[in-house]
Amino acid sequence: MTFLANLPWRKESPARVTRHESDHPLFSFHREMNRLFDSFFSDMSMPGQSNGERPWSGFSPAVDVAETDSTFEINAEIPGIEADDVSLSVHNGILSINGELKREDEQEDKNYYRMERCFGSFQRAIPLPDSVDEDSVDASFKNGVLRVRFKKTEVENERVKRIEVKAR
Amino acid sequence: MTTVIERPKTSQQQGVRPRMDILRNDEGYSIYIEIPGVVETDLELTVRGTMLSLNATTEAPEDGPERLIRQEFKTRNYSCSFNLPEDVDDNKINASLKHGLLTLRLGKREEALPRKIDVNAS
Repeated sequence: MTFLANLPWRKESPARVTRHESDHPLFSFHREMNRLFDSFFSDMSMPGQSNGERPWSGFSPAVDVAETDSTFEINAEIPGIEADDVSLSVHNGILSINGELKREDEQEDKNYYRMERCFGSFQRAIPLPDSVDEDSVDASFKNGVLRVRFKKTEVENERVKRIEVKAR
Repeated sequence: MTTVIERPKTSQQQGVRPRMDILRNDEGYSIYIEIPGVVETDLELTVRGTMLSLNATTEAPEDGPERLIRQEFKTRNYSCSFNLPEDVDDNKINASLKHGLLTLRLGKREEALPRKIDVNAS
């Protein structure tokens, strides 16, 4: 709980282009999941959150989450980091991205004209839908963007249990 | 009704100013600019007079039946420009891009560099 409380889904409201889709059960599931997480985390008061830039000693990278019928993909922006400094784990259906971004010029601290980038440890947690196969994961890092792609299980539909109604 | 996020078309987007750090030292200036997702060939750096401009486009995402569930990346286009300090030598600008981080080294003009003055014993 304390771990999750430090991982806001929403750091700030991004400008979004939205459109309405037909009420497909899959979309409504995602909407429900996002709503649940947004409302859950919005209730958490985080010290220092008001300044927006550096909520606590670390930071959480921005993510894009997308899916196709067969894959579930997370992209995280972590410019300037080496692949070795990022660690990924899946536990209880939550993907955790952890790591530490080091400053390039540690000794020149006092000569900053402009300081906008975030450094230090970072973490981000992404809840995975049940349909994701946690074992078939592929992660790569390219041009400062971390991509984690899961395959979905094909047995999703088989989980629906039919209940027979008996006539008396 | 359900809301689905639509991935904006790169061509329709205005460039967003990337986050950057600017440092000064005796020899010149170091500028670190965060442009994740950009490859060298999609990055354009120009100097006009004392104005340094950056334009960059990230690689277009693969086309497919992809549905965005969450989008936080601010942009697929970056642009910014700033005036170079007067003591910078246009010919001493060095740029390198690694892991989505652009590093600019701006060297100072010869006359702006610190000069050591020999003291003669008399």
